[in-house]
Order: sequence, then C-alpha cells, then structure tokens
Amino acid sequence: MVAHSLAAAKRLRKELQNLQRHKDEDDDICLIPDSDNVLKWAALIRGPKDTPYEGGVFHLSIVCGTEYPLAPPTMTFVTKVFHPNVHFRTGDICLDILKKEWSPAWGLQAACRAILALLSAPDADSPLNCDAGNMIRGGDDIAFQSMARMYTVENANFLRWPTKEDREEALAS
Amino acid sequence: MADNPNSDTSNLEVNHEKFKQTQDQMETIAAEIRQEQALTSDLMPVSQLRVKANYEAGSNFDKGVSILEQDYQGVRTIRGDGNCYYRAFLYSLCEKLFQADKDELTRIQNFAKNSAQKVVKEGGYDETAIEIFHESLVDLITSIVDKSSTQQAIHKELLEENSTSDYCTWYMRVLSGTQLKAEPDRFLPYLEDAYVDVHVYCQKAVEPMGQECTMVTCLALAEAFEVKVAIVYLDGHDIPSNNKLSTHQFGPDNAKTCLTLLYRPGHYDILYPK
Repeated sequence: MVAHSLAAAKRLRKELQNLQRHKDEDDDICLIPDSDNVLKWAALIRGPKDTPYEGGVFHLSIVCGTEYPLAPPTMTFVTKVFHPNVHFRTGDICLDILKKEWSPAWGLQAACRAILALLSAPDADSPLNCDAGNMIRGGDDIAFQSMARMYTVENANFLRWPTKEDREEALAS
Repeated sequence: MADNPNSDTSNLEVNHEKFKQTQDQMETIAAEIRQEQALTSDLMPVSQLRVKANYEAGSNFDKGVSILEQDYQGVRTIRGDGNCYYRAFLYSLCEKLFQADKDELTRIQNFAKNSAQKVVKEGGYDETAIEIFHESLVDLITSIVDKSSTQQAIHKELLEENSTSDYCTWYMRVLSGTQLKAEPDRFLPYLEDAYVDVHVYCQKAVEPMGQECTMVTCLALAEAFEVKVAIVYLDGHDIPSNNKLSTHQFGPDNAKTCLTLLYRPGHYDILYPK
C-alpha cells in the first residue's frame, strides 16, 4: 500500500529529478528547492518579451501542502508586480489553474509557465488589483503599461538571472 | 460607466468582495460535506434514500424509491464532492472483483498495469504526473487479485481521506480523458457547447478533482475498462406505466463485469441488485 502521506514528497522529488535532467531547457523559469524542506520551493521567472515586465526577474514563493499534488501549491509573488490578477500588497495570484482548475497533471514547472502566460495576457475581469484592472477595462492601455513598467524597473531589477552553474548548484541538493 | 472611473472601481471592489464571499461560502459547504459524508458509506437499505433526502410522501422521488425497493436490496452512498461518479465506479469495480472469475481478474489487472503507458502515449499525460496515481490503482487491484486484502480491508482503505480513494479517483479521470482523446471526433459533438476541443475539455472538466462528470465521461470510463455500467434514474420524472425507472447502459454488452449505479440529479451512488 502506498503511504499517501509521503506522496507529496515523492512526487516533488520526481519533479526535481526531471528538472535536473532538463536543466538546460525552459530558460525563463528557474525552480529552486528549499534544501531543508522538499515541500517548499522558490522560483525565478523572467518577464515575458513585449510586455511591461520584460527584463525583470520576479521571485515567486511556492508552498506545497501534504495534499499536493491532489491540491494545488500556494504560489505568490515575492517581487512586487503591478498586474490585474496579482494582489499588489500580498502577491496572491488569481489564476484558475491554481484554484478550481488545478489537477495533478500540472506540476510546479507547468504552473510557473501558466503564470508567465498570465503576465503576457492579463485578465481584467477578475482583478485582484482593481487599479490595474480598471486601466485595462477603461481602455487606458498606456496608463497600465507605464505603471506596470515603472514597478518592474523599481522592483524587478535586483535579481541576477541565474547562470547555468547557479542552476546546477541549486538543483544539486 | 466608463466615464466615471470611481464608481467602476467601487463596483469592481464590490464584485470582488461578493466573489470572495461566494467562494468562502462554497468552501464552508465543501468542508461540511467532508465532515458529514463518508467517501463511501456503509451498505444501507434502499428505503434510507427516502429518509436521508426527506422525499415528500407521494412525490415522484418517493414513488421511485418504492420501485427501487422491489429490485434492489441496498444502496451505498458516495460523498457529493463532484467526484461521485468516478468514486462510485472505483468502489463498485473493487467489489465486483471479489466475485470475478480468474480471466476477468487477470484482464482488469493487466489493463490497470498497462494503462500507464497508454495514458502517456495516447492521452499525452506526463509520466511524472501520473505515476503515483497509477501505482495506487495497481496496488489496490493487485491486493484484491492476490487476495492479500479482504473486502473489509478494502472498504476501510477507501474511507481514508487524501489517500487511495482520492488517488485512484483522479486516475479514473485520467483514464476517461485518455479515452476521450483517443476518439476526439466521436466525442466532440457530445461536449457542452462551450467546448470546441477535447483536450481543453479534459483539462477543464475532466482532470480537475471536483468537476462533475457528464454522460460522455461516464461512457468513456466504462469503455476504457470494458465493463458495463447500468445507470438507474431517480430523477423526479413521472413514473412510466410499466412501473420501472428508466435505465441507461454504457460499455460493451458482453462485458463480464456490470456495475449498477443510481443517478439522482447531479449525483451518483451504488445500487445492489437483489
């Protein structure tokens, strides 16, 4: 019988192995496991091209419960970001696949990819940041773009994108 | 509205507040259901349906229960958490395996074992993603086939939260999804209007836990296992003159294993024929 209480750790170790095998791919996402706790991770993602987030490096915190992967991981922006679907103060993310459309078919890497897609395609109709949502809904794209750009420059320019060696070291734990 | 941004802002905030309240309320209801309903109940007399649901005397539901009492000796209720069809299928299949002949046991066991390859190849699922779920189903079925578990032990195992029942239930979703993806042209016309693509349908309506199944997914799961599923409808419609509730059957006619489920609007339970 499978010890399901250990399933989360087992699955995350598997995901880690996959990351180690494919560490040269997906250059816009860098997942970093916590060396003491397999349920805790950090991720760095690179702001997508042709968005106000371009050039920024954003830090995400990831916490998996023991019900992972049946239940979604809790993912939040640590780096401040101006985006309709990210809470400006708490960094909470409103994304259906992190809530009721989550399924174990996703994983940490895929969830990060979905967050990148969210940065490229904000959904102004379910805003956590009403100011950002209103700018887009009101058709004032210039205002939204310049605010988002300003916060990217102000907050997301401090982290260096990890080199290949950095990544290898982070995943080696 | 657009020329008064302030009122729009407050509207949005009100909307968001309402949305959050609705969400909180739904979470409370879900927690209550978890508290009050076992994943799979003990076997009960059919008349309990009337008691539990408080059907009004003389209503079509009440009459329907009387008809069920003639043909069925019992019912086992399944938690109403949106996973009931898959969970009912899983539980009922396990029970049937205890009575199955050797050929059927071998067939189902082999299907479960070989299914990992199938869902990766044909369903496009990631091996890492499905692995622990596949193992959970294979372990469960193997413990029945090699008689290392009694029926009572299986019942107990399937009651545990966040364990075998949930793991296997999700794998049932993957098997349904794989079946749908194998014949997209056949199934597409039966999907709800909003869906134009079987893959998107699977991602949004089949793979996430708690998403209720539709006819199409019922059919897909029966066909994946090559077992027959008979669904008896207790849905409040007028009782037909032959005094039988309407029944639909899925899956191959010549299947050795036949599961009987009870449908009530939005929910499935397991029925036990006399």
